[in-house]
Amino acid sequence: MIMLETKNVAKNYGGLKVLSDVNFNVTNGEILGIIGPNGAGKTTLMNMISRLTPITGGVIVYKGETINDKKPYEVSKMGISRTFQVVKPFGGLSVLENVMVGAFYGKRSVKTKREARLAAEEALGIVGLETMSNKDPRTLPLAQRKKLEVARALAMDPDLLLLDEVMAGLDARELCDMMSEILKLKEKGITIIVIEHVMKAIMGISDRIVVLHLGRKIFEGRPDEVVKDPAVIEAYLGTKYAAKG
Amino acid sequence: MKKKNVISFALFIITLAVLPHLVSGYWQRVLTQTFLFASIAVGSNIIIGYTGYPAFGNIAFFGVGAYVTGVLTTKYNMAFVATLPFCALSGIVLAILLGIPILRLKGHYFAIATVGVMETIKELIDNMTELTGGGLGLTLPIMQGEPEHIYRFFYYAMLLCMLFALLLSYVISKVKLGYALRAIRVDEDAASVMGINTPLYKTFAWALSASAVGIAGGIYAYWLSYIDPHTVFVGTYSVKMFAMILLGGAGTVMGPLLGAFTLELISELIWSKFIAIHGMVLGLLIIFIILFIPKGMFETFKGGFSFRKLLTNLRENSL
Repeated sequence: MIMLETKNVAKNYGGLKVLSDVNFNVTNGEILGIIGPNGAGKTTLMNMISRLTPITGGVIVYKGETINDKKPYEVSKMGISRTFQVVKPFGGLSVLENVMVGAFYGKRSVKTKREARLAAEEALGIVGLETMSNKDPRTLPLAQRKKLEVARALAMDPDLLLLDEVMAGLDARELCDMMSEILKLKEKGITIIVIEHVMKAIMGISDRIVVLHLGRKIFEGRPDEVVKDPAVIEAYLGTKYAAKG
Repeated sequence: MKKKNVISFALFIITLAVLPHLVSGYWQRVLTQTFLFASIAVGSNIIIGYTGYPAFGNIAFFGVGAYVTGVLTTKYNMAFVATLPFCALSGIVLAILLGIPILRLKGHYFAIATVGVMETIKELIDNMTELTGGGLGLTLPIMQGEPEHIYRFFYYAMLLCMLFALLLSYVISKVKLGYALRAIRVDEDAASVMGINTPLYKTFAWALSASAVGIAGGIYAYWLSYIDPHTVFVGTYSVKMFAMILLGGAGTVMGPLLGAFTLELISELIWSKFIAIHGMVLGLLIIFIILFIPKGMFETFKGGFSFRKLLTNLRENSL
């Protein structure tokens, strides 16, 4: 069953076309990877799905409902949650309190502090940050701040989780750790769209991959097919390498 | 709240409650004025400190509150105490009406817009001569009784107003709303995708802030028994309010209270001894805050006072 579908989605900033006619879908329980070189429009697409950026053309359908006119807080209550490429912890709140915000206001929308605390503790447990509850998030190393972003999104009880480069900047061990965390979320039945530059990671966790280049979709398929596609090789490495392939 | 903090705060309130029986009329007036500024600073901290919206013109609600009491007591013969809920209501309604268009702005743009709002309301009241007396001002009914009783009445009225603002601020910091406001302060986009209806919560925060500031305005008007636009829409009050919030610590419950007491008492001492350099000292104090304690006294001196912390802040904030 299709959870999210984009139909001819486009984004222009004045005369600059950032995305044109992007079509793809993600089905329930799937991990969809979105890759592409810098400037391909990956984060813009993420911002459009989470409704932070207005859509110039096309339609985004989530659970059978068009969300083009929805506000970010409305789609969040419908079950879409996301992380940011640049981690944005709420300073002045502890790690636990940061995650409690997600429980208070996301799809879960709990009423009491006790309920929010329980949901936050559960989310922190999933990403392995349960011992960091009382810390100031600004003092955490990058890998843990990225996990905090994931925990905050999880506390919202999402059906669709958008992960924007959660593995960038992590060392090999942290990367493996994060990959297994993401696969655990899939086991819990959460549908995931991952944007990533780290090819090893995205190939290892995605069921399907969409490749964007200069605002257009140039390929969609299984991870093993992606690496063989001449258009993808050309986009990443140039015409010389595509011809060799 | 920790038991130690509860006891300290209770002792502080008991001390303030018995002080009028121990100090002269002059010091009662000084403390009444301190409570007034503390009410404004603590109330304004809800939008400025918690939510991160620099409402520089929040004094507009103070002025409107003062005129609400002025008009209701003079034109409608309403009792002073009965006018106070209307002062709060006027702030709430005005903040909602203004918040819808203005809270779309951020940072300096929002700050300047609030100053514009304050000046516009001041001009409107200046020109509504029939109702407000315009530039001639409005003389309120003078409270009857012994001067000593009158001093005490306003002392306790302003103390209650300050406690109301503190209670409001404390409750907000502990409930769901407080989490949303602090998230908005740090990153509005991140708050929004976490399900927080940011326009609604910002407006709500400004309305609550305006209610406390409005009540302070109402009490002030009755205390002074004469108001005109230039005595209640005062730009320097905005500067003082901001300095108090920054000095004590924006976004904390007790910070603005600490800032108000420190600044107002220092200000009063300098005023009484060196009147010619009063303004200069206020300016120097603001520079000192920015350089040495940008996060406020409450945050900087959490573990106790130390010169090392001041010097560290100076190093971190130097260009």
